[in-house]
Amino acid sequence: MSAATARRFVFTHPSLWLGLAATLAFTLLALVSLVWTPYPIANIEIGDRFLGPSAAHWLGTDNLGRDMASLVMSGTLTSFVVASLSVLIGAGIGVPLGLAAAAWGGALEWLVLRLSDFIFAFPAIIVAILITSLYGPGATNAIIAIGIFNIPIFARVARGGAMSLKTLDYVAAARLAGLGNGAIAYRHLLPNILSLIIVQGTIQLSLGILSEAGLSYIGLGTQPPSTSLGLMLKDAQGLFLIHPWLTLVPGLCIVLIVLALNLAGDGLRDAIDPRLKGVQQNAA
Amino acid sequence: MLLEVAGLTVKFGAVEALSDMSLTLERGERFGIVGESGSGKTLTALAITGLLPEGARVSGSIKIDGEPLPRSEREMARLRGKRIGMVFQEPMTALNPLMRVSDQIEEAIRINTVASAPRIEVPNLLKEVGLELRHGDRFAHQLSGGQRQRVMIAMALAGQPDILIADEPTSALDLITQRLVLDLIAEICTRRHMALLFISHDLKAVAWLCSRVAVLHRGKLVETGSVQDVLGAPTQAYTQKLVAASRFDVRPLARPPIGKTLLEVRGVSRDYKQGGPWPFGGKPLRAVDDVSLTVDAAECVAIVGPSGCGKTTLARIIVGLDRATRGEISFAGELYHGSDLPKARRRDISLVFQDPFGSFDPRLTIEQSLGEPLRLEKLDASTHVDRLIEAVEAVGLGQEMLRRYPHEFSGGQRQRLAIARALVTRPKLLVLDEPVSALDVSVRGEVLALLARLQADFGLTYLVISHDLGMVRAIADRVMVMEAGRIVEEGKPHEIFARPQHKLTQDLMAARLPEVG
Amino acid sequence: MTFFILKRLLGFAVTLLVAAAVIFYLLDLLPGDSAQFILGINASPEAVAKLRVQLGLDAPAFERLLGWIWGMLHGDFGISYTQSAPVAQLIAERLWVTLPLAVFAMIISMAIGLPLGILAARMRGRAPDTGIMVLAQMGIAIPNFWFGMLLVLVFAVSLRWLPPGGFTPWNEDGWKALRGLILPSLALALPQASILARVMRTALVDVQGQDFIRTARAKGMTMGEAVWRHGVRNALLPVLTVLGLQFAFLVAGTIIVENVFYLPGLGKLIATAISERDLILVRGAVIVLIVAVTAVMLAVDLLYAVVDPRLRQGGGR
Repeated sequence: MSAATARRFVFTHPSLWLGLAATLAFTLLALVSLVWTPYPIANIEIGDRFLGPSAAHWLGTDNLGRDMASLVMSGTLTSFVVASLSVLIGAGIGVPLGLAAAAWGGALEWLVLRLSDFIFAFPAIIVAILITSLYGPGATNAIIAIGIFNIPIFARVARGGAMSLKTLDYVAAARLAGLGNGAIAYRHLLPNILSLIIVQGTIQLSLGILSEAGLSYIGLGTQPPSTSLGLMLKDAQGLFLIHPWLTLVPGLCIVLIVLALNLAGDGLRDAIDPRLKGVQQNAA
Repeated sequence: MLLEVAGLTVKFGAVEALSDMSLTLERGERFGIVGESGSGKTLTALAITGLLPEGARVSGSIKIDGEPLPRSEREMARLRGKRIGMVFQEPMTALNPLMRVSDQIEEAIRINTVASAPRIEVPNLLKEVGLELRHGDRFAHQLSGGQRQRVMIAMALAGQPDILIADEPTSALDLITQRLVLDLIAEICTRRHMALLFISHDLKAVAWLCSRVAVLHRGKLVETGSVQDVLGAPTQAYTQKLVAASRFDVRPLARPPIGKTLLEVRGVSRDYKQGGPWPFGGKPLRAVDDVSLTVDAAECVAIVGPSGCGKTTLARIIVGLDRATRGEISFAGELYHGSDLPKARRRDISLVFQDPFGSFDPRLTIEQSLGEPLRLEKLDASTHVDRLIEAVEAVGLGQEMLRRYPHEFSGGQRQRLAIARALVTRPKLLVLDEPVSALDVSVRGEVLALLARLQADFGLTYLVISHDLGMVRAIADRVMVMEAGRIVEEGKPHEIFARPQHKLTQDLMAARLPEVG
Repeated sequence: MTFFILKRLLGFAVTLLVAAAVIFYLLDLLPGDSAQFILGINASPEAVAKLRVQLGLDAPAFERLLGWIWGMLHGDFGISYTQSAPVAQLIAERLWVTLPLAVFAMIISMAIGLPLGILAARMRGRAPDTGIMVLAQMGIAIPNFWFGMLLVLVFAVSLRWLPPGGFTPWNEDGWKALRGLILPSLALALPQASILARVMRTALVDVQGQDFIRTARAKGMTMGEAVWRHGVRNALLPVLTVLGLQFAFLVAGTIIVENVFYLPGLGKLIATAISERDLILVRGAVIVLIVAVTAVMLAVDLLYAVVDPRLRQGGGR
């Protein structure tokens, strides 16, 4: 797909456009929190607690009188960082494993498949429990736990995509031209599965945001004084019957971010999926 | 008049995929529709049966026994079941993989029988299509291609239809099975006095089965009439081209004399282990079994055989993509066993692939793809470019094509480019794996003529792998017949064709359909 | 078929053995050990050493690993020193909350997700499809524990239909116990139902384009009949895989969601065990979770072989 058709696609597919724009907006919001938030997030003003939205506090204040808007900005950053790093871990280890499994086959492939089956038996939360027992809670735990969970997913996507390419004649042609398994994987397989990986990355990013929230909510993830959307929900836990607002704000933020990422991911898949492109030709 | 189609037009959006198609079919008559992929021949069948994909807009009239097709989906479905039987190209995917085939036939009977009518039984249908009772208890994946197609025919007969529509029913089958299924269709149509609408790209099959024919090209009716007239004395240029292509007329060219032995294969076998990397496990599968052969310089040798006979595996070993379990190969005096072919020698042997769509990386330009084999030689930049230009010009394309991407080319052009890639290292031996079978009929002749010219110009040696006897007869100096991993017969094409010795060769010859015209 | 089952059972056993070893060695890395924790920081080294011998902690790690596995095979998961009770008994009590919760959630998500997915696929491109897919898109984006909080606000606080949290043991009042699990299982089920609806729709849309559906229509069926008789069963194959994976998510999800509803499930047990560094309890609970997840994946594999005749002969996938 050329750049021009890609651009046309964005404009003919509003959900992709909306998803990308919203993702970008949240990313910017999160990045801004690095240099500026309306109030410092550690700023505790017990006297100003449980305030509703106002000009001074756009999203009100929490049980410690902290500014909710600032917390949300900073929390979004944490959520994004955790989710992105875990996607990087998953893709960084999983994609090479999957590619190698497809390119070399044989015992290596068997090993990669068994390994990913094995990791599937460890949901992120179990890994987080184990790491927390070892090193105590923290955002790093969440990153590692979700990252490990991502590894087999990327490995399978990469292997699946590469396997369907591997039987194509251009791979055999490259082999005839003297290219080894590694060179074929790098030159012919990887570029052609990159779109699959990007789509999966978007999906895992949104799952990562949800997982981070869950882990922080039960105290296995981000710890004070830093904050995350999940941690805000944990803080609001005891109060949500009396002050539901404290629960609604971070929760809605999570929903919107995940929604944005999913829309973007689905849109990208539609844009890339050759089956959808081929429909008209096959019918004729 | 049993079936009457007039002015049938099918549109997808603004694209007119079929325009103004007309045909008539009498009871018991056999009508053929000939065309290449995208000609609209399948759309015609789908329109008649009301099975067009969503989004298709149909105009024109289709009448069965003078009645227009019903509008309600349910009535149309029941009419389809009772009046029209259908057989499709790919019998593996056309059967439900999770259901025993007898249950699928039974279902067709149940839908189309009124309670009062005498009931047709599955065993009778199985018998009629030449299957045994035990085949009915199987699932689709447990049957051979020919058996699956027989099941499809049995299902089509369940409603005791007046019309059988067969859409490329034998294209996915090997030569011998093809003939058996064609004969079965002919026999059943005669016995049941059933009309046949036979859709195919294969002129010989249409000429064999049908009395009247329509030729379609890009959604338009080119020519229609009796088979003798249209295929015997075509008036339209397109039909003439199709008829010529079906005969594989390749003009003999002045060629360099055949020289000394270039390639010698000695006792090569290839076993495949089954069931993963375990040391024990299933019995190994022997794909190639003790094959020995020689190919002389500037010769054209063909290996023919049914699918799964091991001919492609043999080719892959010779070019160095696979490794022989036993035996050895000598190329211009150098010994190797397959993938251990030394890098310095790889440039002397090239392979042209079957599928022109899979043989180029969609993300690389033609220049990058064609340049890949040149890594085997250390060339400076200007020689590199000269070689690429030389190769594309040799196959009759211009050098401006080098900057384009594969999707910008048609199937025939891609196959030319695939040949160009094989030529770029100036090889001595070209291994051609089904070089034209994935191409449209009208393009096949051009590619074969190109191959003949290249052989004459450069003194190339060809090893052709094919299942297509007509093509092999047209181009090969020597033919080897392969079955179950072994070479069972060898000789000059005209000798083998006239006096086949081995059972397989005899069956292959018997399965051939007469030439058209 | 027998070979296939044996191969899967072997894989199941190997996975569990390796998982047990990984968990054991990971937790063994911890500085300090149980004996130290039991006696406190001020205990004399001699007392600690004596207790270590008593607890069998002086044996080599590999021997202790084998001992642990051997014990578990006989239902002995060790004794929790913080709760002074057999680990097996502690876990079993909690499983009576966690497992019903996961199973209810699974049933609810299937009951909602599969019909909606089928409906959407049959109505592809029309209003019901769009509506269902928008709902599903939302459902996937909502964290289950947050949805649980919303459910409490609506159904427990505002409407007062159901209890906001807590759990009455089954043997005291089965009806009350069930009522206590309704909101949590709904909270868990919603995202899963959304995923199922999407997977079911995609699978059925794929199947609708298959040749055998065209064959069924050629036999005289309408599209609807063909999809119902031939499509749904074929489309369920990919759905089955997703169901297996979902169970893993559901088990993980119970641990989080039970926090919202103050349910005495495995999650609570594990949280306490971690904070009190009761490693015997942690590893017991973790291995039970892994057994549950792996067993469901095994069941899915075997179910595949029942549904798909192509898998029954010739071992592999």
